[in-house]
Amino acid sequence: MRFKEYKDRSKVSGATILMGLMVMAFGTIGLTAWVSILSARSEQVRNYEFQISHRISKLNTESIIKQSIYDNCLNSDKRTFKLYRVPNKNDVAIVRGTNGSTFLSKLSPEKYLRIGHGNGGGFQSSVLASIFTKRRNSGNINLAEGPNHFLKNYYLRSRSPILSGDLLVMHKPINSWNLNRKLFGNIHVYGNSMLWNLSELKIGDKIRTASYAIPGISNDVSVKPLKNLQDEFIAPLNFPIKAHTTGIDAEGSSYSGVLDVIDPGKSAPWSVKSAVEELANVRVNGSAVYNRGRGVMSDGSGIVNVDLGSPFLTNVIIGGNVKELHFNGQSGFVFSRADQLPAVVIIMDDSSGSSFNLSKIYFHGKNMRRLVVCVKKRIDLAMYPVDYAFTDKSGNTVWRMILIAENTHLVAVNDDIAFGDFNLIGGISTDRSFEWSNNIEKRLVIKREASPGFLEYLAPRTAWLESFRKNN
Amino acid sequence: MGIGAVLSLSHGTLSQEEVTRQLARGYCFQENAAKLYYLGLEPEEIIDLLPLDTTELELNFTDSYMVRVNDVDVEASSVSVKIKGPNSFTINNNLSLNSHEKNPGRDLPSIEVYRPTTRLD
Repeated sequence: MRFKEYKDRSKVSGATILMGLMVMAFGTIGLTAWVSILSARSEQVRNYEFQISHRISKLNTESIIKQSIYDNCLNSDKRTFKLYRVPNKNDVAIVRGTNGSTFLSKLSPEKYLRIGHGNGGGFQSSVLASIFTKRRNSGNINLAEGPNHFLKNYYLRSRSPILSGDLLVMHKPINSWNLNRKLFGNIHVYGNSMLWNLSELKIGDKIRTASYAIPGISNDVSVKPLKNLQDEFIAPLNFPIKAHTTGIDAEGSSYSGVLDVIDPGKSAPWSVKSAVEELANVRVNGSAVYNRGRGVMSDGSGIVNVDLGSPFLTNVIIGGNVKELHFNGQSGFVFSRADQLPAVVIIMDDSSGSSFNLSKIYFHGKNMRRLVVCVKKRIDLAMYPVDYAFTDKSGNTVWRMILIAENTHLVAVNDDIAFGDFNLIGGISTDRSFEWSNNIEKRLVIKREASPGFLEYLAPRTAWLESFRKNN
Repeated sequence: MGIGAVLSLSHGTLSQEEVTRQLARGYCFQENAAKLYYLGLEPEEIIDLLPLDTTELELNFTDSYMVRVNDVDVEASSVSVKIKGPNSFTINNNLSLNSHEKNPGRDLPSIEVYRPTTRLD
């Protein structure tokens, strides 16, 4: 049998040759495919250069747009139309700004964004921008390569940082000399604390805060960690922080953390005083007698009383010459209905000149009316501290207030403070010291305003920029 | 002869793939470095942050400078990447040094990136 099969040798040889040819054919195909893949890979990588160039060109154009918005739109109430041609490129950016400053915007976002400082609300104005980019490797527009014209919506958003959860904000002073600033006392912050320029701020051991952030921190700043409400040391919430501003000051950057919102002058759109002047208000001066049943009284000798229970109280601008400022809260029935009284702003601004030095601010009783108190002292009197106290002795005082203090060292008078908790619903923003009693039985509790209502419009705002791709 | 051809072809194609890979990594690092600069990080921070293999790539920034575009000034820097020469066939330090001297590597075209000067102080 074996010999018989050997006689079919030609068939076996043919099969072997065929197999060899098939191997060669498949090998050739495989080799060609391999070389083709390598060639395609090389081409792909070579095109990275053009793709990256294109993407960075778009990024650069967006940088110019953002800078233009920060420079021309954020602090301005004029409509802007700007065209920018990127140097050494053919890329073009067009910025169409709105005619309303974001600090004065009364337009709420259509869709709330549950992120960042605007958590829960705030206002916005929008800027539409067009970006035209020119590709390096193509002379003509090729739709297969994707669009080279982009539309983007930039939203300038604004909201009171205190209403957004920054309940205690220690700003930088505008002037840089050593002011011996302190944050001191048995203070519990049920929210976030923002601590600017921490290296020049002395912080007491009894400060407790749910969280805190230190904007602009760098490696050469030694940071003493704070404790949370459970008495544990916690790290700051430092990254990421959006660039934001409470408005530009006369000398520095908009984003340096200074506080100049009460009366920045120069018709600045973030001026609280300018905003109040457009609303119903009364003007009082500590050197003139005033008692017209509007809820504010001046005895003419520098003592001003504000009756927060009065239904006739409107916004008040006190033009200086004040020694003592007394806020009288509500009691009994009026307290339980004070939530329905209109929110008011009380401004005490003696920065333009005053015969007296403001030395006392007293908060009598308890207050449930929405209230913004702005105190600005003359810069040459800023070194003298202002004593303040909550005088209610019920042991669990509630005081609803957003307190803005510029050039004003606020030092609590320990003897005038009763034992117990003092619940401040709102927050504090200052560029000088804020000192409270260190007594463990006298606690200042700062809590977030849960129902701001008209305070959204009255409280000084911070502003920031968000951008979105416009799809249609 | 056939085996030699196959080996030669394999070495050539593998070398090409290696060069392609280095290029791809170089472009990737360059773009990411540019984007981090745009986001506000400083050049030293970016170099520390990116997982660079310094035997293979070198990432450099120029000192920041201001570019005027109409009425705005933006901060700018050029990001460059140098792909270092091959050292896979070096045997010892001397040879490696010689190899680098002969093949100084390749510079990718630098990218100029802008950023708005609105960062926190």
